Amino acid sequence: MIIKSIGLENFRQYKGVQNVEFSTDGNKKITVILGQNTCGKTTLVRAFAWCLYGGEAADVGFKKGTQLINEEEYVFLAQKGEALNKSRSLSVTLVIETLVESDKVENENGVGPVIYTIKRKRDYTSTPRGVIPANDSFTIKKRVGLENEVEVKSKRDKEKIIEALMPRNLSQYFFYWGEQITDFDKKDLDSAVKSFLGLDVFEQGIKHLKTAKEDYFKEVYRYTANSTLQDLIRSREEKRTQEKALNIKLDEKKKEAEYYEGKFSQASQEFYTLKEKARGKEKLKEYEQNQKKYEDKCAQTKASFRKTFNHPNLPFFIMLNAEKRANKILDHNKDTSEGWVNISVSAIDEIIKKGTCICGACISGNQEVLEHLQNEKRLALPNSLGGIRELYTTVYENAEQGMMNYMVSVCKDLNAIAEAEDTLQVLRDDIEELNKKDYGEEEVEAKKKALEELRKLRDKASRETGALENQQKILKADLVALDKKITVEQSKESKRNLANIRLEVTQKVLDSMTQKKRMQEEEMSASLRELTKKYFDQIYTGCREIEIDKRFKLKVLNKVGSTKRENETSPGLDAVKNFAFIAALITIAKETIHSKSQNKGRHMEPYPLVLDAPFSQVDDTHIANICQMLVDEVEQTAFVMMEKDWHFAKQKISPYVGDFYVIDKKSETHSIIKKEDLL
Amino acid sequence: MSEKVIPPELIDELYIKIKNRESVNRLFGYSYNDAEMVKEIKRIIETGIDEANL
Repeated sequence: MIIKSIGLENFRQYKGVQNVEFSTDGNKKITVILGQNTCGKTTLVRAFAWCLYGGEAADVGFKKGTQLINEEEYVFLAQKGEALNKSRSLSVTLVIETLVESDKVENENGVGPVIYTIKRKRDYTSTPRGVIPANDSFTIKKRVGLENEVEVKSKRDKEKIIEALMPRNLSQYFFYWGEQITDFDKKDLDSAVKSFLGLDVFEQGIKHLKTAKEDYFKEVYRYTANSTLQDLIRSREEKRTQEKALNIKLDEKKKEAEYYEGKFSQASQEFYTLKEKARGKEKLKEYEQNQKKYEDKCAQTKASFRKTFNHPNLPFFIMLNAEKRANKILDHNKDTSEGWVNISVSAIDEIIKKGTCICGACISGNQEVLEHLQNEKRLALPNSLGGIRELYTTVYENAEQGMMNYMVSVCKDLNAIAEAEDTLQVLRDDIEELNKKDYGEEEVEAKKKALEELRKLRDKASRETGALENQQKILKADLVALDKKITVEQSKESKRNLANIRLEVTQKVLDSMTQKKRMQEEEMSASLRELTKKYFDQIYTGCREIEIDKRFKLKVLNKVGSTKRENETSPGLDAVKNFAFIAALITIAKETIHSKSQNKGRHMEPYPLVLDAPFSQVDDTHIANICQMLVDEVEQTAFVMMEKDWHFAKQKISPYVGDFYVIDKKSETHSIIKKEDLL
Repeated sequence: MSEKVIPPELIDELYIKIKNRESVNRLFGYSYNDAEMVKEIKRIIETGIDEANL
């Protein structure tokens, strides 16, 4: 990583918003910031730590209880009589770039650098209880290559990013101030060094592999069969054997049922034929009943005829003949049928005598009427039979009508009698015929019994077939269920086998990673020890030796003859010792483990150093040696120092200085960082 | 455990892939969280096993 800039807002002496951009030029990789005592040099370096790790003032080296916000702003907030709820903010913003070479990593985006904008902000508010920090916020925005900047949301991810960029325990090596450099070897640096050197990649891998292993183990457990597959297969075989035996039995029973069904059907047919034959007897009875009915009817019709024949209208027959005879006589005698009916000659004489006709006409003097009466007198009895004839003709006509009705009635009765007698004759013939037939009633009874027996046998066979079919169904259902179970178990077994392979492979990869991690740690530790010794020998002008234990603690040994003894150190010696360690650490860190393979394709990862008054405890010779080492090994360095120290370092490092700043102390509470040209 | 023999080359290959995946995740500011990385690692392992016809 390299630092592109730091932005300060109301952080201690740095009132308002101020920004320092660090040189990122590979040839001019040093940024120098000069300042006099108490101008805010150490504060500037502590701002890096506060931005990355947060905490209170004491956590980044200030005196306990110190307000991080600019004193003038604090006083403004604390002023009484002013309106409450005034607020001010302090913040530190770091822009950091990590150089990720796209062709060196398996990244789906295929992009280069990742730029982090890390901002820590604290708001202060004035309240009746005084000025209090109202709100802290910490944001990390990340831009990968050409993608848009995105904010990292998860707190855990932010922690991981910071830990990957710069482990807190090691930060003091890279952002340190004054006397703190002498405290390095008092802390446990083991995990921080490993994280810095990228060994946390192994830690993460091992952690994730362990989780994957647990998952696969659960899968193996999940797919462990409740009953063994072999038991199920055996059970299925038994069921299949049972099914075969049952099928044979069922086939036999079906044949038996079919046989009885056929027999029954045949017998049934025969029975119905016989029954049909026997039904002729019933027909005979029916005919006999009909015969009786028609005989009754015939008798009734004859009685009716007799009654009709004896009817009083019989004299009309006689009248008919009498009328014929009378007319014959009259015709022979040339009698007409003219004249008044029932009017005699004496009656007409009486009318003439009275002088008024029965029609009301006056006879007297009326010749015409008189002549008419005289004519009637000639036609009347006893002078003429016409009146009688007229009378009989009328009676005859009435009698003729009566005769016709009578004759119709008689004919009707005669027809009915004839018809009934015809029907009777037919019936008698049929009955005679039917009586001659054999109806086989005994045979029907015998057949009925046989049919009943067959029905019983058929039903029994059918019931037994049904029972066997039910058994077959149950067996089939059992077999289907067993097939399903076997399929599930086979699938389980297959999944279990797969999970077992996955588990085994994961375990082997885990073992491999654990082993490689150990080897890498050992390799890096050995390299770190060697390099630290090498750099110490380069910087230090005396005859002491340096040693690093397994927890990366540094010891300076005094060599007396063949004996080595731990030596008391001075601040100057501590600084030299620690610079040697820093240089060694950075040298190894350059070769990160971010590689495609274990031994190939490593790329250089630069790391920065931000040093506050680094040479205050070191003599001229050592300053020159340290400067030479820093120029050679460190990719980016920011020196925050006093004018007098710059005087010694200038000659060695000025060709490599890219940016030059001076802190202008306006007052005890207000400093301004100004960019200047390097003279 | 399975009866199949797991070739050592497969383990080496998977180790490198997983380590590189972790490295990339670290370099890119932990773009993937733990659960996602476990999923990724399982995917790498399972694909490796499939390709090796185990």
